[in-house]
Amino acid sequence: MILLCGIPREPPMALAIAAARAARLRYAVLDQRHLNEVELVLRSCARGIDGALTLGGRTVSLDSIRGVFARLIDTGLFSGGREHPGPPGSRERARTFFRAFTDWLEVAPCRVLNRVGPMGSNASKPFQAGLIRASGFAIPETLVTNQVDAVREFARRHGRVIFKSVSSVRSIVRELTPAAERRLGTLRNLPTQFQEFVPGVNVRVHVVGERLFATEIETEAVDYRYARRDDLEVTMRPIALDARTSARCLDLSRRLDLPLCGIDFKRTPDGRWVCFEVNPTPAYSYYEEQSGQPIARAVVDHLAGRAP
Amino acid sequence: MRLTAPDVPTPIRHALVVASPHDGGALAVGAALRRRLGQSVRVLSPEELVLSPRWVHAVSDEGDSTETTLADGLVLRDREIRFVLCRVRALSAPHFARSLPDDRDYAVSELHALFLSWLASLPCPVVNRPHAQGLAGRERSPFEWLALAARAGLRVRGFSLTTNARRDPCPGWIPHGVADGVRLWSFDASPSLPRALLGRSPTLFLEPIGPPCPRALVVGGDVLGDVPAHVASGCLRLAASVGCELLEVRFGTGRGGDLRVTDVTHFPPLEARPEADCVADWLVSKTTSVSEAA
Repeated sequence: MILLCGIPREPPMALAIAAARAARLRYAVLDQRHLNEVELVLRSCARGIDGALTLGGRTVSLDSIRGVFARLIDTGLFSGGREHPGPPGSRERARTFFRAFTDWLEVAPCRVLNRVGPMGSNASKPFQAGLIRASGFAIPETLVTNQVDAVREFARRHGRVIFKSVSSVRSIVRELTPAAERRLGTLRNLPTQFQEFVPGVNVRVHVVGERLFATEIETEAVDYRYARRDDLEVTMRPIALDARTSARCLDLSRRLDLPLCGIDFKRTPDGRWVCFEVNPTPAYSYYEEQSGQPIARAVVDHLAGRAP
Repeated sequence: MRLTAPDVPTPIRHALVVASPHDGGALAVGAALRRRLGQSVRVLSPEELVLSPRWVHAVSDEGDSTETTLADGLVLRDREIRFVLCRVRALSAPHFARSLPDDRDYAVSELHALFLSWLASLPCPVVNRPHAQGLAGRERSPFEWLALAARAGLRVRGFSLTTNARRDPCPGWIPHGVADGVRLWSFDASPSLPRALLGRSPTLFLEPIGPPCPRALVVGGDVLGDVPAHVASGCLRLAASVGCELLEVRFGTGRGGDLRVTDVTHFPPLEARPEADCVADWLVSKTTSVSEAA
């Protein structure tokens, strides 16, 4: 059995549920809005941890779960716990379930997309850049600083420069324009990340286990994810990767311990692949719906241990 | 962008202990290091680094380089740092204390991201190695630690966590509260409860166990503590499996008198002088051999 955990109406989860149904897989949906209705027991054993999950009145051994698609949102982020209506103690049970279940996923012997621990690399973009570099990809030259002079020197050398958060919070890419330069005085309070602007075509590669889905994105926007907000068009189409880039993508996925990830590149006019970051919770539905690539099917096949 | 030319040798000057001023173990190691290395040892609080007037951290295809100038004028260049003992679990942003909570949280996230990248990029030994889930090594729940200890071949204290005590009552074991579902750093932190009050509550049941036994402290490839050789080997396997060079494993005695792991931490207290001396000796020897090899 595979377990699909999250909010069923969220697009990537909805596509995965539909794909599991279409593939006639044995699957169960763990709806995060109703965690108080789920029971879990974790027990120590010689192998580490075993236990059982009771969902919809049916109890399954954790050992019988072959794969878990985990798109869980921390229960603390739910708005006031309104998603957990029910008798007294419901919220407590939901929180306990969430913590215990995510702890189990960290050490579970089954396939998990993805475990929480490895997902943390995206919380520091320069840290993750070091891991990307180790996989053989070029990375954009990056400066994190609270020094106005250092930024001006960096901008002078590169001409066009973008800035964005160092962490994954408020991660919107903006270009360092003359207007933005006038606000550099605020840097002294908080080091900020600056990067050389890399010209070229955006490519998103989704890795699902050993499968790759590369999508080329055409847009005039600096950050294509927010293109529509700026009234700019975005078009997507599937592309084939060369063998070396494919091998590096798979190596990067393994190195980060993220069997499901979205890798963001720019393919420069001189043919280099510059890697910007690896998203550990990719909203692949956005790409699947526009490019037609069967990413959700690959997700459920991977969880079930089916060969591509 | 490199701040120091790679082919220009730079003197290794600073041995850093980054820790809260309230971390007695870090202060003890800092004092032990000063007895060995003199004034090159700096014990820095995370706030001193957070409030550094100058941070320049560069990352590129050629490598990483960082220069930090502290408020007292000390300049830390990455190639001049001998080693870092990092004892920081979380950062704060004191200069954002009056900001809106969202802005303060954002500032902390940004500083954490910079710290992590800086620590990970240092060419010197950093103990424990930073991880995406922890500046001083990956943070883990007690469930994970015990599961990993069992996989390393150590016997562990029995536990059973249930979301419904009525459904999984675990007779004979001691019930504990689970702190409203909040992640427990240690099973010891959860208070025991009378069974009559459990009802359907989420509950952690722990196997009854004898009094605490000597601890095992992993320091590099050695184990301090009065534990049998096969247990020491298990501790080393555990430390290697999680990539921690400093690790403490705590035990109780099972019914048969065997040692059972009750808790594991990558933040050992280190307040006892022999332990602090041992860690200091190990850090110095580790970097001496690195320098000689270079």
